[in-house]
Amino acid sequence: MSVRIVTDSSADLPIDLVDQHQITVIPCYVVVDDQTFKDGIEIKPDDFYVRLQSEGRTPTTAQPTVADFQAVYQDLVGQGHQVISIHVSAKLSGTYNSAEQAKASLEDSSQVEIIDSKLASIALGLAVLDAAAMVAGGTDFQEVANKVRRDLGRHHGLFALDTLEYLKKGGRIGKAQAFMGSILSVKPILKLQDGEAHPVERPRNRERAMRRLIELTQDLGPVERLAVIHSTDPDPLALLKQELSGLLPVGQIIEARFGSTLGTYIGPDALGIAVTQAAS
Amino acid sequence: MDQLRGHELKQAFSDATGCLEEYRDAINKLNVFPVPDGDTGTNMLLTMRAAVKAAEDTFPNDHNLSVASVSSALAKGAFFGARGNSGVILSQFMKGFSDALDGKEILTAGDLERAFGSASAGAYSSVGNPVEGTMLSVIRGASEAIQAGYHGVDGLWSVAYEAAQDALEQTPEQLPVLKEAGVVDAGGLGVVVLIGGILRSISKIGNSAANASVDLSELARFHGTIRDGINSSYLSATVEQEWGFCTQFIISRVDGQNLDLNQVRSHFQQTALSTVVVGDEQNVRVHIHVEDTAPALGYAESLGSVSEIKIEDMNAQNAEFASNGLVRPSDGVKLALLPVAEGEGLLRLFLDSGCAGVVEGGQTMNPSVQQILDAAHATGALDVIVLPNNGNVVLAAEQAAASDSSVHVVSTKSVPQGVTALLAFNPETPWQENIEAMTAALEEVTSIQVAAAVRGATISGVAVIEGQFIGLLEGQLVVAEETSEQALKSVLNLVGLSADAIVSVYFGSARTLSDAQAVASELENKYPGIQVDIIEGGQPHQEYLASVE
Repeated sequence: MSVRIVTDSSADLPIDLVDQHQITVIPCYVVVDDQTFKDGIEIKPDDFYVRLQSEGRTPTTAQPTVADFQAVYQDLVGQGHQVISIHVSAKLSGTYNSAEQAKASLEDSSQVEIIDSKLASIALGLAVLDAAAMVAGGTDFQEVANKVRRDLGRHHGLFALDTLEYLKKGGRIGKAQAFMGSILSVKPILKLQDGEAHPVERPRNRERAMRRLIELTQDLGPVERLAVIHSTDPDPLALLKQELSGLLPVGQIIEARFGSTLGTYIGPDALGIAVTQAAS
Repeated sequence: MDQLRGHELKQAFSDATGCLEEYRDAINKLNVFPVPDGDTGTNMLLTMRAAVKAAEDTFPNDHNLSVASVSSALAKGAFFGARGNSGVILSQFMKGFSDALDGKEILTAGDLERAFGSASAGAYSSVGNPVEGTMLSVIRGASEAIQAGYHGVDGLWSVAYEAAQDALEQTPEQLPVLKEAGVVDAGGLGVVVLIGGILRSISKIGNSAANASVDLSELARFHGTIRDGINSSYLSATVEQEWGFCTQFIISRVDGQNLDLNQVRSHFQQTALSTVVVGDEQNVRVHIHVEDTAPALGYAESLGSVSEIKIEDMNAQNAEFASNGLVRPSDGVKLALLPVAEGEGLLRLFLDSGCAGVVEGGQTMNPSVQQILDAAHATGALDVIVLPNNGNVVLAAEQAAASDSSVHVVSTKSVPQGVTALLAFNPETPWQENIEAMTAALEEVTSIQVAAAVRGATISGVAVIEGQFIGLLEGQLVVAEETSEQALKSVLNLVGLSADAIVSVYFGSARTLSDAQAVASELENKYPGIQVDIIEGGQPHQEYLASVE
C-alpha cells in the first residue's frame, strides 16, 4: 500500500515536479466572460492573463466540486493507495471544505487525510513537495500527515504585486486593505500569515520591491526549499535566483508561474518567493 | 511694590496679550527667511489669547484669587492653545512659571525670581536642540537678570524688561542668519513685548514705584527698519480648502444651563466631518465641515446662544472625497497614522494611502496641541502616530504626545518625509516597531521645497531678490531663480541624481500638472533611468515640494 499526495491547482506547481512525484492536482475553476475553465487544463496562463487585462467582466474563481474530489479519492483508494490531500488556505477558498465533504462521503474515510495548509500558490506547492519527499523516503501515511501539519509554519510566501486592484476586485483584499491607494505608485509586498495575505511594505517601484523581496527572503534563511514565481514577466526570475543563490544553489531553486486561479487575484507583473525553512 | 495679587497677575497677562496684538504684524514681518515662514507673532498671540481666555473662563470673578490658581489656569490655556514652535515654547514658559508658584497666594519678589528661573528652564526643555539667538535667549536674559534683593516686584519686572531688550539686541550676533538678514529674532521680540506689557500693566497699580509711562513704542527700533515686504494677505488667509461648508461658531450657556462639551463633541463627530470641539461648560467652540449647515446650527441653538458664526463654502471639488471625510473614525483599529498637511491634493494623498485622518495645517497655519489631540482621539484608534510634516509643527506634535500616552510622533519635517514615513508604516506591527522603521526610512529621503521669495535678502551667501523663486534643500536655502521650475531643477542638479533615483514632485496650487511634467521630462532626458512621480499636492505656499530617494 503506497501513499499518494493530492493538491489543487492553486499550488502553482510546475508540471515536471507534479509528474516526478506522482502528485494529483485537482484543478480549480476560473470563470472568464461567463465561460468556465479548468485551471491549467482548459485555460493556460498566457491566454488567461491576456483576458484578465482585456475589457470585459473581471474573472472569478471557483473551488473544485465535491464530486471532483470524490472521483479522485475513490480512484486512488480503489487502487489501494492512502491519500494525503493538502490544500489552499481555508480562509481564502472553499477548496478545503469540498475536500472534507468528499472525504466524509467515502465508505472508508480513514484512508484519506485532508490538510488545510494555511498557504497558497507555490508556498503551498513547497508544502506538497515536502510531503512527497517524506513519502519517497518511506515515512508512513499517518506520520507524513502529522509532520506536514506540524511543519506548516516552516513554509513562507512573499509576493510583490504591481497593484492591489485585482485582490480587491476578487474580494480577497483582507488585511492588505491598509495598503490600498491609487495616488502614489507603489509595488506593495504582501506575505502569507495565518492563512491570509498581510501587508508588509510599500516600495516605490519594481526594482526596490525586488530588492526588498530578496532581503526579506534572506532573513528567512537557512532554507531547505526555495521557489521563485511570476505572473506575466519571467525576466526578473533569473536575477532573483542569482541574488538568492547564497541560500540555495541556482539549479535547485524552483521556477514557477502563477496559474489562472492565483492570477485572478495577484494580477499581471507580480513576483513571488516561497521558502521552506530548514528544520531547526 | 512688595507683592502682586492673583487678579493683578491675571490683568497683567491680559494687558500684555493686548500689546502682543498690536505687535503681531511687526513680529510677523521679522521673518528672517524670504519664505513667509512661521507667522511667529500670530502664533504667540493665539497662544496667549488661549491662556488669558482660560484664566478668564476659570475665574470670571476676581475675588480672592491666588496667583497659583491664576498662573495654573494661564498655563493650562496656553498649553492647549499653543500654536507653532514659538507658541509651544511660550506655553512651556508659562508652565514653568506656574509650577514655581504652586501654593502661593501672592507673588513676592522672591517668588518672581524663582518663577522666572523655572519658566526659563521650562522653555529650554521644550526644545530638543536649543538654539541661541532665539526667544530662548531672550527669556534666559530676562531670567538671569532678575535677582530679588532690594527690588520690589515692579522693579524686578522693569529689570527683566531691560534685560530682555538687551538680549534681543544680541540675537543677530548669536544667530548668523539674523545678522545676514539684518533683523532681530521675531519670537524674541514677542517675549520683550509680553514682558513690557506686563510691566506697563502693573506699573499702573497704586503703589508701584515703576515708571508709570512704560512706552512700548521704543521697541520700534527693533522692527522699524524692516521693509514692508511681507504678503500680509496670506497671513490672515485661512487655509481651509476642503469641501462642503466649513462652519464655525461658539455656543454659550444660557440661564445657567451648563454645556456638556463631550456631548457636543460626540454629536458633531457623528454628524459632521473634520470636527474640532473645544471649550468648557460655559462656552464651546465648534469647527465642523458639513454639507448642510442648518441641522448643525439648529442643534447648537437648542443648547444655548450661538455666536461668532462663520460659514465658508469650500467649493466641493471632489464629492467622493468629501463623503470620506478628513477623519475616518475607525474604532477598534489598533494603530492609526495621522499626518498634518494642507492642500487638497496632499489631504487626498494621505487619506488615499491609508491614513486615519489629516490634521489641516502646515507652513503658516500651525495646528494647536489641542487640534492634534482632538484629531488623534477622533480616529478611535488605540495608538496614533502623528506625522507633523513641517518643522514648525514638530513641537506641537511632541507636546501632544507628551500629554497623551496613546499619541506618538515621527518627527517628519517636510511632506516628502511624511510620505516616506507613511510608506514604511505597517498597521499590523506594534507602534514602537513602526516608529523605528519609519524613522530609519527618513534617512533615505532628501527633501526639497520651492517657494516665492516675498522679500529680498542674502541668506547663506545666496542673494535673493523679491519675486524670485527660492529653492531649499533640507530646509537650507541653496538657490534663487527666476522661475519656480528653474529653482526646482537647480536644486535637483545640486543633489545629483543616480540612475536608480526616484524623484517625487508635488506641485502646489500655483502650478499645473503640465508645468511639473515639463520638468519631469527634462530630468528624465538628463538623467536616464530615473523615475519621476508627479503628484498634485495643491499646497498653498510652496510651488513645489519634492524628494529624492
